[in-house]
Amino acid sequence: MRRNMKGFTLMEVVIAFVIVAVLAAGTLPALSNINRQSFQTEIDLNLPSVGQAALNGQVSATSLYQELADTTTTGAFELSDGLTKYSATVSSKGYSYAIDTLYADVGVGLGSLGAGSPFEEAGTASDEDTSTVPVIITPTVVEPTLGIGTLLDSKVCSNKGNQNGDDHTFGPGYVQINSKGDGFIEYGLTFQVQSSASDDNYVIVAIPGNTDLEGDCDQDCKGVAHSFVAFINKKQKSAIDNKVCKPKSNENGIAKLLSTSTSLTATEYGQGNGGRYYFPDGTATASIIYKYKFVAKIEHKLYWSMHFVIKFMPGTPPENQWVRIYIPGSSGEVTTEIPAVIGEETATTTTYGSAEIYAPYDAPIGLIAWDSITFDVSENASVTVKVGTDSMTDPYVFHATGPAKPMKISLRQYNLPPEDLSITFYIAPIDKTEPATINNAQVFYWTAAPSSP
Amino acid sequence: MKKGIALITVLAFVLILSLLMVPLYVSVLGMTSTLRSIQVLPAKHEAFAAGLNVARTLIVDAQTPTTSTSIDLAQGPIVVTASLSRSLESDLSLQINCKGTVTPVEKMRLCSAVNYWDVTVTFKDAYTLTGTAVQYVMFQPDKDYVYLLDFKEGRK
Repeated sequence: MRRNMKGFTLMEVVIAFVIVAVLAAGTLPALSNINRQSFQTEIDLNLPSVGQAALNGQVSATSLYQELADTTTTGAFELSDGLTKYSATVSSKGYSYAIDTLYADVGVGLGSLGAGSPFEEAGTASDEDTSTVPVIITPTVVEPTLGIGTLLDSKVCSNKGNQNGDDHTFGPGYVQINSKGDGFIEYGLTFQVQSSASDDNYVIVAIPGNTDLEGDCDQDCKGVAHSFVAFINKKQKSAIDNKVCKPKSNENGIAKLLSTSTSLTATEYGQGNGGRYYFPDGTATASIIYKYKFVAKIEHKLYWSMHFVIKFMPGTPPENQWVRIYIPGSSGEVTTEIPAVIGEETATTTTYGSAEIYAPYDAPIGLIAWDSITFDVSENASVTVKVGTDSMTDPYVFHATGPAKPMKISLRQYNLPPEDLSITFYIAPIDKTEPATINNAQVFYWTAAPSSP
Repeated sequence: MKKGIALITVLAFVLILSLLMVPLYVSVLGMTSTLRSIQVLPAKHEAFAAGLNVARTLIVDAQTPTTSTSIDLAQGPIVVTASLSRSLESDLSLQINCKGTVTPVEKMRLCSAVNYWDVTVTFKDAYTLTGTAVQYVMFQPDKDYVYLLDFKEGRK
């Protein structure tokens, strides 16, 4: 009988199991740690999220990971331009992750309002100042007592800037040089002084106070081309004729400024007592006459000349572009009125000043939010409104110009704290000769709806 | 002959096994990539959020129609650029000129405007966020309102 040997013996199977067991035993340490490693991997993977959550203050949502992570730190650093930097660093088992974010304290979004209803009327604010201020001086009578002068000759000296030329007209006791509207005068006058025995011969120059130097005469007037008057005197008229339009600073013109109606003194430039006397740098809104009074030390020089080079400020009306030379008559007196700039009448005007109106407004009971401020603005009004509450250190400011009825400032978007409101109105007229007012100022707010009985 | 058939059978078996491994390999690669991108998400989102806040300050303080800044964050640098695209009621030059009005309130501006800005936030030179900001120019520079609209990632 032949024995069938198929299959394994018990010993072979046992040996095989032993071998497998030995091999499997080698994997046990790795298997025992696989759970832990898996968890650690998950923690590491989520560290960025943990850091982000820490930045946003969501501690509870990620507390599990936060507890498992070794450290979590956050900090705030003020950068420039209103930026704040928040940082978080999270680490676990040697793996570390850092994340930053920035927050700007500007440009916040809209707030929200609850429901509410009624409004209450605030006070009425207005301001008007009707004080009267004269702006044009009263005509002045000047009465010199000496001297007799006769105008012998006149000449337009230059066409440069003198587009329309100049001319002169006579009035009682004076000769007036007119620019003819081009804002520029360059003109020469020659006249004779009959009495040379005295050096008290006067000439009075009246000019609107709007002359333009176009330069700086603080140190001296070197290089300043206008506006001035230059004097020359000679024994012979013929000696003056070729000098009147081109006097030099060392010419023997002699004149002395005795007085002026303005505190702005004329600047002298040139050698000795001759040369030029500059007019003050005026303004375009001329309303005052500057009066100059010169004495020419005539001695034995009977002929003298005055050379005017004057530029008027831009915007000077043509009727104010003149200069008058008052020459004493045979009586030795000038008995005429030196006119005001426009016309010969004294004028007054009414000006309206600015005003500041402070309007505190108590918070009503049940206040939820401030809604808006309305008020009526008249034509010609420039209104600035400052709005804040007790706890605000930096109030909001609004600006409006009239006319508007009503003008509305919406406060909802600013989410003002529900507490006492401070409103300050600043009112100023745009044209100070016209009134400017605001009135019917009202405050609107939201309150909790009254409870039902 | 039998040996040859056996060899072919083994080769075919190996080939089939290899083909079966391909989707497995692709899946593992996809999982790895997904995990990496998930890990980057917080960094990117926080960088973009920071960039939008920077844009607000840039626009409020803008002195020119185009303004830009770069700031280093722990997760990488961001570059924020804002350029004025449209303006209503006023223009930027007028807005700038309006600063410094002294009375009655210091720094008050006597003009108002609505300015539209194109904003770009770039993170690590790799991720880009673009959108529009609307600036309501108020009468005080630090009271301007800046609203950020329609921001999308990766838009040209």
